[in-house]
Amino acid sequence: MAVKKYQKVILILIILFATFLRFYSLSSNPPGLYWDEVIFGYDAYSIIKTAHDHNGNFLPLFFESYGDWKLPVYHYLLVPSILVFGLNEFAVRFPSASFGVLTIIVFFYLLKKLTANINLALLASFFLAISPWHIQFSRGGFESTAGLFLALTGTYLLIIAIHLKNSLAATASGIFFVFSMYSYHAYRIFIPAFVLVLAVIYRKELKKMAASLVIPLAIALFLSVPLIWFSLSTEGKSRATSQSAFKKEDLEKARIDYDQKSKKPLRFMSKYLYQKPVYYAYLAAKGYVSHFSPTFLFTKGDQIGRHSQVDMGQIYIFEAALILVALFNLKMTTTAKIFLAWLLISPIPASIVTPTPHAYRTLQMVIPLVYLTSLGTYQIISQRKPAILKILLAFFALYWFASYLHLLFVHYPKKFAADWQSGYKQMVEKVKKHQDSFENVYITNINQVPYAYVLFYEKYDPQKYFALNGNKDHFDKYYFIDNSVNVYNKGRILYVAPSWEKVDGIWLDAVDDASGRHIYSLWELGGQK
Amino acid sequence: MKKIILALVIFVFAFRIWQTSGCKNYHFFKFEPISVKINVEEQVNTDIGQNRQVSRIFHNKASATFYEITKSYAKLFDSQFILDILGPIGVALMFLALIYTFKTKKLFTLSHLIIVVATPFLVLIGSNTKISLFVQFIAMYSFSLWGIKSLMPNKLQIFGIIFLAISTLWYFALSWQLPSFCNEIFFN
Repeated sequence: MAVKKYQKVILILIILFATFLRFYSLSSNPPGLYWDEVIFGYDAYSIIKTAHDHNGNFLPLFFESYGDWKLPVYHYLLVPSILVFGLNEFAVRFPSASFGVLTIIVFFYLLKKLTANINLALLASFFLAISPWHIQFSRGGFESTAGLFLALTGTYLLIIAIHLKNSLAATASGIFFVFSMYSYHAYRIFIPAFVLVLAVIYRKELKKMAASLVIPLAIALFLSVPLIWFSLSTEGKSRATSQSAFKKEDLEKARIDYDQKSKKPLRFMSKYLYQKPVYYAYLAAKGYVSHFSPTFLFTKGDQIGRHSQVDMGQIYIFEAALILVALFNLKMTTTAKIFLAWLLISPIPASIVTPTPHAYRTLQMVIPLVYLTSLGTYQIISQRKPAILKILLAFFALYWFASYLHLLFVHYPKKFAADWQSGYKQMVEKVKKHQDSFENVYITNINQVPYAYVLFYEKYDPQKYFALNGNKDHFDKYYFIDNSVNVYNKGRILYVAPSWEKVDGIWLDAVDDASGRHIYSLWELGGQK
Repeated sequence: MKKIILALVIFVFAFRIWQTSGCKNYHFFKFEPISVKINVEEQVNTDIGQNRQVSRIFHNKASATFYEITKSYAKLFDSQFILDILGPIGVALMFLALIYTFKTKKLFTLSHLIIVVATPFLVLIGSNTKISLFVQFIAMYSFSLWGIKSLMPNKLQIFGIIFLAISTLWYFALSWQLPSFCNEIFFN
């Protein structure tokens, strides 16, 4: 079905609006680069300058980062971005914002292909464009946004391949799916499970074109080998292990708690109840269902400030009604099966790690939720309901959308400055202002990894960093210390202390974050007579 | 066969009701009107420097009341809360009951669903949390039994129900402290 002229105009307007929502004040909102953004940026900068990451690894396939081993896609996407825009906040966030907009375009074409209903596809694009969940992660340097684009494109190309029996499209689909798995950890579990479900849904069609799928599958498997190898290695497991919901000490604690509080005749049950597979299945089930909580979806969202507005849900309150309408009238078409499977598989990666619910690890949930929202909206608009009811619903939705914009652009930069490590940029600027008259600069690491921020905002030469054997504790004249270090026997130094610390020195300057909160104080030590 | 499944499910639910009898101190679910005032003042304070009229459009008692009531209501349909009450078998049956209701669109089952949706308001406004919660639990248990109507008497489904019933008893044993609605529980 061809897109009519007026529909093209609407699509362009939606894309322009989505672009505005994702790019407006991108450098300053969110108010500061958080740890991962900074190290993504500096690693990409280091790749540009030296072809090595900041840990000295040559064109790594997997980035050591802070020891938590990140996947490569977003790092390499940052290389052209930093080359064009320089090492700054906008460059670090540009790929994520761009892929956020591109996802909307792919989603339109996917729904157009699946449903042959252009108006439904336009509605879905619109709801994705204004989705708080999707906007939140498009406006930060988040790997998952690129991963979602790649997963969606892979799905679209697979549908094309099946409809046209085209092995080239199937190959491209496989490549996009694999690249999605190289973009963010959650997709390493989501993509194989989802592709398996797609294979089941389209089993008849895939059987007919089995011969033409051999090469695409072989290419996809070949490209996946390094990822599989990495996933089985100690480095690959490090992130999952550190975030795992399945900790032996928690199991022991729960069992001891039961033993202490239960009545004696029932105590024997603890050795049967608190078995690892059973208890871990119990934890995973709780983690899984938490992502369908109305509190998480509609009223409070993810409680990590980087992941939501916290004063509202991951999606709009009015979407609850629209989703219910869609479910009430749902017919089990192929499209419905695809998106329901997508919805049910999405929380699996997050359910085995903590904390839950987790909006970043389940960003892929936004796609089926937007599908259901747009389906419900389409059904309401199409039905013979009084116009006044539709107008009231539209007004209600518009009000909540406007409220969200107010929260995003007015409240968010002030309320969540700490979540984005705001203050680090300002700290480095103040250090640069005062450091020339000092041989050594001691900086507190109370807010974690200050070394990365000094590297980033100083645009420190990576070659020099390697030559000086720089590390997270020290490079050049900079020392990054905890409060166990005695700063009074280091001679004359510039000391960057937490704002609350009582220091016996000459006060030089204060550092405030974007919300005006006093974060650090700069002191001269050892120079007093 | 459906009668046997019904008896099994009722037994599992009865076990859970018995467990809840040990709860001495329930979470506070009642809606607090003061939360509206707190919400408005908190949000308006963040708008320092903004146009007051604009601030009041977004942060007013009407919108805050709607939001706070929705937030309190949503807690009573929280997925952890539902799982703690119904267990895996109850959630599966609830899911089937909803499909049955949406498919058949019978007035009786739709009315039953409306009761399930309405009972949390009793908890929000009622003076006795224990009784209000029990009313909500009974409404949810009874509604989920409609899910049994969707079951076919085949081996796979029977095996599935038995597996879910055992998993539910295990789940109820592990979550014996009823963390989503009970602060203090004693073994009876």
